[in-house]
Amino acid sequence: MKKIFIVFSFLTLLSVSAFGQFEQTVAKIKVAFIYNFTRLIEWPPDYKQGEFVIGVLNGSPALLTELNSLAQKKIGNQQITIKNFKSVDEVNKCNILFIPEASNNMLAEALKKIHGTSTLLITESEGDVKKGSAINFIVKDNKQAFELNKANAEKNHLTVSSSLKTLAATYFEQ
Amino acid sequence: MKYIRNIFFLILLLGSLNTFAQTDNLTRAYNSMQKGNADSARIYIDKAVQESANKKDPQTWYLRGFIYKEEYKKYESNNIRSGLRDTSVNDLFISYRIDSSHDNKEATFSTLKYLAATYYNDAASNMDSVHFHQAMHAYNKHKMIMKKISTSNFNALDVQFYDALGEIYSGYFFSAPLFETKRKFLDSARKAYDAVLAINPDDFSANYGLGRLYYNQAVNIITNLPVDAGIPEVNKAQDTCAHLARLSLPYLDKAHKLEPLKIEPVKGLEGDYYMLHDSEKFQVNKDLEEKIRQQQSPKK
Repeated sequence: MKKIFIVFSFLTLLSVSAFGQFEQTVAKIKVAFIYNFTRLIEWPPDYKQGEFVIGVLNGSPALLTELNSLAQKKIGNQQITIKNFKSVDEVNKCNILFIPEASNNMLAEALKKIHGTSTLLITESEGDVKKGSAINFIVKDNKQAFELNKANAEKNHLTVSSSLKTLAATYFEQ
Repeated sequence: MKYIRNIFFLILLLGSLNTFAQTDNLTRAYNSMQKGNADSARIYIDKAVQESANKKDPQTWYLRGFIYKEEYKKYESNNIRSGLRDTSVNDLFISYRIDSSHDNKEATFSTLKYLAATYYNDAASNMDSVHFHQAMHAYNKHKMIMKKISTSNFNALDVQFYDALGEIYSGYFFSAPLFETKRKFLDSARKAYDAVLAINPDDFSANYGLGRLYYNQAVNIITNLPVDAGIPEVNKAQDTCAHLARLSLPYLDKAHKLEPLKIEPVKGLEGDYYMLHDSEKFQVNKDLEEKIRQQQSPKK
């Protein structure tokens, strides 16, 4: 009767933390939203040729990992390509430009850079949707959600489907 | 000492039988045992218990229990599902039940305690990720016997046992490749940890184990989400993820309070708050993690 019930956690044995991947989960949700936007927004004909470029300004490793999972997919006939820009200077033609919160100080510069193009600008800082962003990620009820500014999208010759409007947490006409 | 007592009891029984100079199956069984021939004794005692004169005789049932215990030791001591052992236990309880004078109580309980100990040892040695069902069987047998013959409190042992069981199911949960399978093992682990917390709400392992399971299931919900899932599906996954993160929080919080210098519960809290998009509480726990790391690092 000397034995006692001991089971060593295999995580302990492998020295693996049981609490990884949380940044990955939030990044994956954002990427799932971004992929949905590609299906619910229409680009003008000159942006439907060549590669479908999703650019990000200084994406985190977690975000880039998740975005790269889209690289196998196509939008119509366009192969998705992911580009991580270190600065606004590096930004060139892209269908989507995502500015993470940590890079939001580059918003004004980025807006100038994409002016007159058909780039869908996605941000994730409070108030950005009123500063020129078409889609802005927000948190609502502990969940990732998004605001949509139709006018900002249309300025860049993008057509927003009616279903995307209904899925937005907040919708701005202007 | 117990062994000597059992032998003494058998000698007494044998003596009483010799007095009547019986040559029936019961006597033959005693005689065989006296010669150390348990195999032969078993044949006679099986016949003896069928005889109406012996059916209500506690000594007959005690002898059968004793013979089957010896047979178990001889043939099935490595068999966790030993039928010989089960029969022995059953017979000894019959003997005790029908023995209104309880003259045999000490010898009967002594043999039962020995058998209970063998179940316990089987449970302990089989408590691993492959044989744990056998361990559960043996542990329940051990408890069943000891509850009947003693006033032992099983709380401390149950906590150990169900903590270990929870850890085994958690291991299966983490290694299961399919989401549905993970759900099944999460449920089994949860039941084991709940059993621990019902006894001791302040058990670190169970609190930490439950918090860790809910957290990881939340991660799994999102990990398994197809990248081309529609927005309603994404939102549904987010709802489930947030629900699981909220379930995880109180357990990890308790685990942290119980073991304030352990980093893992704090990392779990960070993750939960991150998934709940609560950046303020995420940062509080991230700072706390850093503080604990500094405390743990060797002073220069």
